[in-house]
Amino acid sequence: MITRLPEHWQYRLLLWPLPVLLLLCYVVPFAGIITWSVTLPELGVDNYVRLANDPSIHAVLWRTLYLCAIVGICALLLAFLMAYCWLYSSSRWQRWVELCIFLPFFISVLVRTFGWLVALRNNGLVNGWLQDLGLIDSPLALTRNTLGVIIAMVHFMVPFAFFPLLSSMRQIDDRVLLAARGLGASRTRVFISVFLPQTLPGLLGAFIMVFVFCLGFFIIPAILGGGSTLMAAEYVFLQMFQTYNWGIGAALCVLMLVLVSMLVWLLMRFSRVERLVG
Amino acid sequence: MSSPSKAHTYEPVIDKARHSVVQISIQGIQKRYGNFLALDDVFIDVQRGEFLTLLGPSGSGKTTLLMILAGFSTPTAGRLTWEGRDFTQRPAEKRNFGMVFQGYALFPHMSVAENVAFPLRIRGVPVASRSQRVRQMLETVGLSEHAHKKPHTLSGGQQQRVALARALVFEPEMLLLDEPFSALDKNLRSQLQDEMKRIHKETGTTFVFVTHDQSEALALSSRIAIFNQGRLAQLDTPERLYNHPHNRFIAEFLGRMNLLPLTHLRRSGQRVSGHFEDTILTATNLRHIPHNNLILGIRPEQLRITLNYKEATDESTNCLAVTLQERTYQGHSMDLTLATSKGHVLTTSIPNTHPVASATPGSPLWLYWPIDVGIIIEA
Repeated sequence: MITRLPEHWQYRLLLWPLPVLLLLCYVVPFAGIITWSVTLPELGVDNYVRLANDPSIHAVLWRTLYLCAIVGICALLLAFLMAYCWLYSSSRWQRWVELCIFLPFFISVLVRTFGWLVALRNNGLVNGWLQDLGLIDSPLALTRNTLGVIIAMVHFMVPFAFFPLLSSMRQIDDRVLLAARGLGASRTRVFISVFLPQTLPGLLGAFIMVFVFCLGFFIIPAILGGGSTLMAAEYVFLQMFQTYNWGIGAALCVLMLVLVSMLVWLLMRFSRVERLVG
Repeated sequence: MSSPSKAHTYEPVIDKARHSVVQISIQGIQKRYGNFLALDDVFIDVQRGEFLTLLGPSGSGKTTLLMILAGFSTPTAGRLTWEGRDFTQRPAEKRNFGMVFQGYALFPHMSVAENVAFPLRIRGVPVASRSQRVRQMLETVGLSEHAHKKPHTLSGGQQQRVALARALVFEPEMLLLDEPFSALDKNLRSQLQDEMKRIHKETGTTFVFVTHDQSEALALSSRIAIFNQGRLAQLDTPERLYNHPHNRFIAEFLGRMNLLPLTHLRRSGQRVSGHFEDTILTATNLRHIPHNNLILGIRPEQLRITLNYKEATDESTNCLAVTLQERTYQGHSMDLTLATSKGHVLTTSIPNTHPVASATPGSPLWLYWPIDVGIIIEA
């Protein structure tokens, strides 16, 4: 611990709003959710028993985990390529890569999701072009299914994977790569045995960040999945606002929080967070 | 005095079983970055088994030449030959040279043993003999107990040894070293220099070493190539560079040197006499430099000093009247700053027991030195 000088005690006052905000806006409401999960519709652990036994809930959970893993891997791959490209290109190209990363940042998720709907639906842009080019006869099913959800989610998540990856790539010493060449390793070999292993903490960190972020996605699966791709967040919404099954929704929320906490713990444990943002 | 001809004084370390002494020939290498000439017209024959140091101030081109030798940089003109065969365009990974980088450049994700094993793994050496050679190499550099540690847990000196072991384990044709000691403190530096000398002797590998530290270069090298502004200024053994610098830059760069400009020259045989202020000074002009304005150079340790004029005058010595300006106590000796009547400053060093050591600033003194220790340099 850093020992602080006594005359700086005033500065601690500046820190107060944050814990107070966390307490009022997160901890208190979440305590309410925990209470619901064991009291609605009646006192007991019935909701958790149902979580453990209901195959339809299991299907939602597995679909959520599976989709998040696929999105994580795809976003990681694209972000890796973009970060690598940024690292080894001229400053003009670097500006282009940055533009591709930052521009979507300034557009709301809702707008982007509807944008993808316009682009991907049966008589949308992508299918239109492919048909005009004569590459396909009938439109590809790109929306109202898992594929559409994945495309839009990956697009949303790439920037979140880009920055931690770029940060871990920038920490690699160029001379270490040169040294490997000098010791007899070809370019491919240098990439596989020296470059890639050094980006592993960044890859892991980026993956967990994307994964955790995806677990709570609501708008994208709701709009692009067309009801066929029910993910955990949408399921909770349905339970609470359509079927008024507040207890089971709350129990699912608690389960998700436990899952996210475990993943964040893993993130802290295996890749030092300060290295991902530095 | 040594003779001026190179071949007479310099005896390279020769592996007698091989036909040629020249291992690598650097022929007219030039490196241009836009309008800036980093290296121009450099010719060096690297002898097999020698310890060649590339020495020069920063920006003199020495590191550029090393990078060209390693294959990390392509020259804009000239060529490199290996026992007569051109390898200018050969990629770095196919040259089979070991390299120790400034800051060591160890693989941070591998243990010490894995770092050293890396070049062997690349070369497909079987696991059994690989681990045996790694063990041997780590023993040579004294790091056997640290084999399983990660590089960042080691001290600077230990990391440096790992880098050396990694560069030598595959028995490279040549070892290139880029300022390997620059990050270490003085004591550790001299300890590692001794080790480097021992390893050079044991392996018999050709070492090409880049440094800006002149005392390091003098202590380690069998030959030194001094660079100045992208050009090779002089290539010679440490002794000959120190005693017979070809020009003023080298004289001042390597050790300390008092420089006395001479005018109204008179030559007789190998002797040159000329006026320095009001005194006539004489020196031997071994290289027969024809210029009309020459500089007489004398190392501080070659100067003698006395309070007594009679001691200083002799047929075979030069003598100069000076006043003491400043004394600097150095422990084992005393540095003196002296000035002539016209304000030209000279330095010398005396033992603390010397009678002049107790002289007060402003005292008139006599400097003298034998005629044949002074060197004639182009002005």
